Amino acid sequence: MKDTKLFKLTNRYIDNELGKNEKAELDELLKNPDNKKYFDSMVDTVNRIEESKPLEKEIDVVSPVAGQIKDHKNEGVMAKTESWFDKIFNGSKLSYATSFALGGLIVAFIFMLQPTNTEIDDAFLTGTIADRSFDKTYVLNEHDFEGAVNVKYADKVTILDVKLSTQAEIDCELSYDKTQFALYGVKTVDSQNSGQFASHGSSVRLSDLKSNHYLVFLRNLQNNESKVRASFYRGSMNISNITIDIKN
Amino acid sequence: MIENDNKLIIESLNGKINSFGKLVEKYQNKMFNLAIQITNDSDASNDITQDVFIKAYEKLNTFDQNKKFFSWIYRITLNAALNYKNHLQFTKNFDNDSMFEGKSASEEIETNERSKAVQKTIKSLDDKYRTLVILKHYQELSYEEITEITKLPIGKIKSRLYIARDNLRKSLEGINK
Repeated sequence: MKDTKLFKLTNRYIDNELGKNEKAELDELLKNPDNKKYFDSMVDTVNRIEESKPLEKEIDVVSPVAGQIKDHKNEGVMAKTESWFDKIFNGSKLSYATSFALGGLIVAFIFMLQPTNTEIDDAFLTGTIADRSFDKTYVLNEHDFEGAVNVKYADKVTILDVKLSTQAEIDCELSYDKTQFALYGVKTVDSQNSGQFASHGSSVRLSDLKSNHYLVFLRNLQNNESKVRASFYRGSMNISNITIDIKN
Repeated sequence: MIENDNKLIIESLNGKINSFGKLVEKYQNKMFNLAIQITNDSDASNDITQDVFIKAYEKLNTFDQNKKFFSWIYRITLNAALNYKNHLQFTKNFDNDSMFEGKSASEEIETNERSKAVQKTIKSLDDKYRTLVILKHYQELSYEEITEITKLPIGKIKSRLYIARDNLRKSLEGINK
């Protein structure tokens, strides 16, 4: 690096920030051939950097972003209500009544199809939580988190114990074959906050593993071997996946 | 610009997704090009851009409307891109592969050999210098804008950028013009 004065004035010249006195000072310094060589070399470097700027590309993420945020909780209550009313109440009263009646029948039918829970009671769940032995452990050792998914095979139930040690906000999505399993329940253990989870058809998403330790109970619908996929996300970015073998 | 953005933010907070869509439309290319300059990965940059806007939407009620939306979202993009790049770097190092092998944005776009050599030299800089070179010379931001995005004092930004330029000068000396 050249002397501090030349270094600073050259950079201020490049940034077009030189005052009148500084310009005179720089001109004086540049009478020295070594200084001039350094100055030219710095100016040339910056020109080369700017000429190397990659061509800018264009994208269009408006639709995918809008699609993903549509159901988000930040949607204002008024707009949400308006939207619901617009969608639902845009026909005759007879059509509303028919829709509600049909909806009720469908819900009742879905409930009738659900397998019963009578063979798994709260005492069993309490006992499982207390008994911390597991049949299999899948260790995770990633860049910004580590931990494990422990698996316990019990009669009619598979328990997945998901615990991470991390400073990042990481979610875990467990996906399973819904012909093999049904979600029986999720319990949080040793949690700093009340854990949140959401189930969608054949998956359950566990939120914020930084603060929560989860036990996920899957009811075995059939006595077949199967797999559960555990996908870890930072925000919506998938950062790790593991496949868990379930033996019954 | 700040007034228009704030109007769109207020409308977004009141549930008008179209208004947030206008913010996405306005800034998506800037975010994407910043991300690609950091990560050198077109697909990842597309994902990062989408994630950043979704994250921004989720946190919109915490956004201080006295500040510029542009700076706020730029900062989120910068951090997301650096996190991605560093995670990738770790994974690649762990696998004993060199960084950024395979499909890269710079291979997708047409650049001449001279530019490629300069880009490669910039890529070799430490993040704290490289980020400033990108923000100043590729993104063409002012020092005031850079200080809003990075939260670093202008003096520190300048001293780091001056060092970065000097290091690049030394590295490029041996490379044909």
